[in-house]
Amino acid sequence: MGAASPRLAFASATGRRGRRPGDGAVIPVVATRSATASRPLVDPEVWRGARTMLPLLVGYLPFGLMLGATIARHPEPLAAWAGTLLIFGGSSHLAVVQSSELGAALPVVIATGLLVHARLAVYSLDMAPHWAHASLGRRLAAAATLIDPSWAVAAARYGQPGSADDKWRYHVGAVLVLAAGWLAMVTAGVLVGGSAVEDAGLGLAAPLCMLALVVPRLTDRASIAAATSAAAVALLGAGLPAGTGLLAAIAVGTVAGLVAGDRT
Amino acid sequence: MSTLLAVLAVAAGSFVLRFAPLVVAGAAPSEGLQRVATHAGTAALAGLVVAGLTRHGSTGSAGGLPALLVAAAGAAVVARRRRSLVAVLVAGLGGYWTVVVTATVLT
Repeated sequence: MGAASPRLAFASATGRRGRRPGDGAVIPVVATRSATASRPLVDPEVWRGARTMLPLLVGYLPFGLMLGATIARHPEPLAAWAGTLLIFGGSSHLAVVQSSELGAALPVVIATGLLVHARLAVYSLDMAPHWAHASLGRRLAAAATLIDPSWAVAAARYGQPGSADDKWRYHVGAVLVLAAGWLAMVTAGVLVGGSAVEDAGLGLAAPLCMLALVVPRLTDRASIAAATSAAAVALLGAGLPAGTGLLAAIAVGTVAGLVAGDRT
Repeated sequence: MSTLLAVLAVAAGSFVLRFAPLVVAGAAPSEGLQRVATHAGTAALAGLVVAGLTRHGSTGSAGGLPALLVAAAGAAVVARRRRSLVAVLVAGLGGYWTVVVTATVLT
């Protein structure tokens, strides 16, 4: 790990290596061994995606532990825990666990969970130009793993140079780390609970990572209008239930961006 | 049993929400649709930042609002200059803890 910090700017995705003197066809056996030895164990793009996701994962640690602790108190903990990878979204999962624990009717529990996840349609729409023409298998996999951090990291990477395959492998690396880490965090929360991590201020890490992802997008008046109006509405709607404040923020921010874009 | 049904239904519904735009918009995403998606993405990220900060603030975190503002401002400045997530985290959390420690010492 060490020196290379996760970055959202990428120069090359090929993992180029210099050609060493003596490599070649003079002694075929040596040349073959050299080529094998220089091949990285993990694909460079997969590794880059995984490394970029790690700091975000740290940010979700308090939430994952808290969700796990909530699941542990649920009357059907195994069923509640099953949502970790099936729903693959902490806020919606938490809404399902809490509302079912409170005895809400099944349709209400389902509607609440889906309302919280309504924003995923926006993320998918954002990625549609990149993924819509991919193979069915890739589209299914992409859809199954699309959530705030994986979308944010993928959107940043797809705005950078590189082939479609490179970008896809990058996304795979990020999602593998996210899925494994998220499952581990929630399970750890089920087993030990976790308010101590929140006390350490690590709950701030996730919004700060999102901040790092939104700032590079603020390149013109329209994007600044979209971000500031969405931020204002999110602040005003912080107390609204079931993620409706965030949905309102997305709607208002989108309209503000479109209007500001038309005026310039 | 009802919890498992709810989990399965929300998982299926969430998958449809994630997958449908890849099919519907895939045919020929218009310029207008792309603009909507771009602004919606920016708005969603900004909303997530504020929602995360307010959620953290509502837990009665140490340092209160000043610490949160310093953390966000420090992180934004670093994000503007460098695109390293680690640098942004160090700046944000560093600022947060500086305010928390200072407030603790002064009171």
